[in-house]
Amino acid sequence: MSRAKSPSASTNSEAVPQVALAAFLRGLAARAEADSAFAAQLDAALRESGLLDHSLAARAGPASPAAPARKRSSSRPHASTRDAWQQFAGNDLPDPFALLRDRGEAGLRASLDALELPVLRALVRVHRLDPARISARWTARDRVVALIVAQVRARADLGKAFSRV
Amino acid sequence: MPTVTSIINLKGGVGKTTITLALAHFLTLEHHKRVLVIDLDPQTNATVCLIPEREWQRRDEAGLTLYQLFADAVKGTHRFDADAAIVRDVSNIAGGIKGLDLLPSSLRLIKVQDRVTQITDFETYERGPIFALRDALAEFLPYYDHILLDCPPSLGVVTLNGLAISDSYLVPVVPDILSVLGIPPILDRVEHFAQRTRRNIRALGIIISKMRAQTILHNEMERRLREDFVERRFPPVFRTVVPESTRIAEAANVLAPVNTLQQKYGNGGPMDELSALTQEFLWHVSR
Repeated sequence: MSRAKSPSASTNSEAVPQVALAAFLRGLAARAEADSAFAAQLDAALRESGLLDHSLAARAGPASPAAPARKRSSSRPHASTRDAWQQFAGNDLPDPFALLRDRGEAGLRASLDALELPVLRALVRVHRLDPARISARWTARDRVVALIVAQVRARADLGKAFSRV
Repeated sequence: MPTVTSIINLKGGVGKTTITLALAHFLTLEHHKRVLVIDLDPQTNATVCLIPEREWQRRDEAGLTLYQLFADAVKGTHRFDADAAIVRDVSNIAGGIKGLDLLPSSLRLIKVQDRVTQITDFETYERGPIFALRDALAEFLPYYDHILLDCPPSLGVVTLNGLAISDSYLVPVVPDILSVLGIPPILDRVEHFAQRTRRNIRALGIIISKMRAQTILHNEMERRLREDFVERRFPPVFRTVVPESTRIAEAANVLAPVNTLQQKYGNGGPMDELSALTQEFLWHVSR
């Protein structure tokens, strides 16, 4: 039996995932409402994915010149959280590894000191400098700057001890 | 008496170090066991996942790694001090885990490997430093509940030193063609060594590692491995499968700021698998 779809079937096949997705999400919501443990797991998984943060960060709007304003053009009224994330993760973010290489640790620290907290958080996320996301709750910029400097320094030095053997 | 388990495979990159470290962490933190990790692999990966590189370098330069043990065997000296070489309360979780200790490896082991190989008789094991590790650690092993040996991807003298103190071994495999091909030679060689040295070294099992459940090949090879066990050709295959995971890979960063197992391995997913793996390990060693 051929698996090829007829042109008329393709319209239906586009509708099916939509319906299925809606049913899946309804089922997920119902299960989360009925089962608090499952709801907690779901919540943890969502937080782990970082989608919530990206969404919130995007909603908060631009925090510095490095974080461009989210475009709300009528042509794209429902930009996805991924789009928002990519705005933070885009070329506007400084490269801390290049800063360390070109300007040294003091230069890196000075550059980071000029950035707002959401941008620093985006840097941490983009470069996976804190996979456990311990710093996600930190409100002091200095702590986040120190984390970035320490982790960037550590990665830049990775393997240096071995090269002396 | 402690259980002493070598984690061994002739193939590199199959997750030996990952599994050694995960077992060590979960045994200490979830099961409150005292664990010694012995890093026999000259790549020194387990070592630098448990202590910072600089700390390893300082110790290596001071003769406080396994290099010194094998250098002594070659040179006929007696400089290795096991008590000083064992690093206590290692790992980046909460600044160090009480009861998790490490005997560090050294890149310089590569330099002495050829020499110790030359002076070893691999048929009778009656000549060469096969029991150097056993003799050096004899008084320290009873302190621990579990000793885990991260072996290099070979069955050379260094690995044999690990087997000489082991009562069991684990074989991590990636469920692909080349990794599975390497299992029978390991089983044969360990059995040969056990017979010649009159030891009982039990194959605890095969651990499927770096599993990518979305690939047909991995699923097919997992099925074959489990069938081969049923046909008694292989040791039991652990029910728990360790997935390929970014979080597990990132857990290797000893400088990452973490305070709990959950933060090191991530909530759910890998964390649950590694916890289950440890429970299964304990079940197998207790049999």
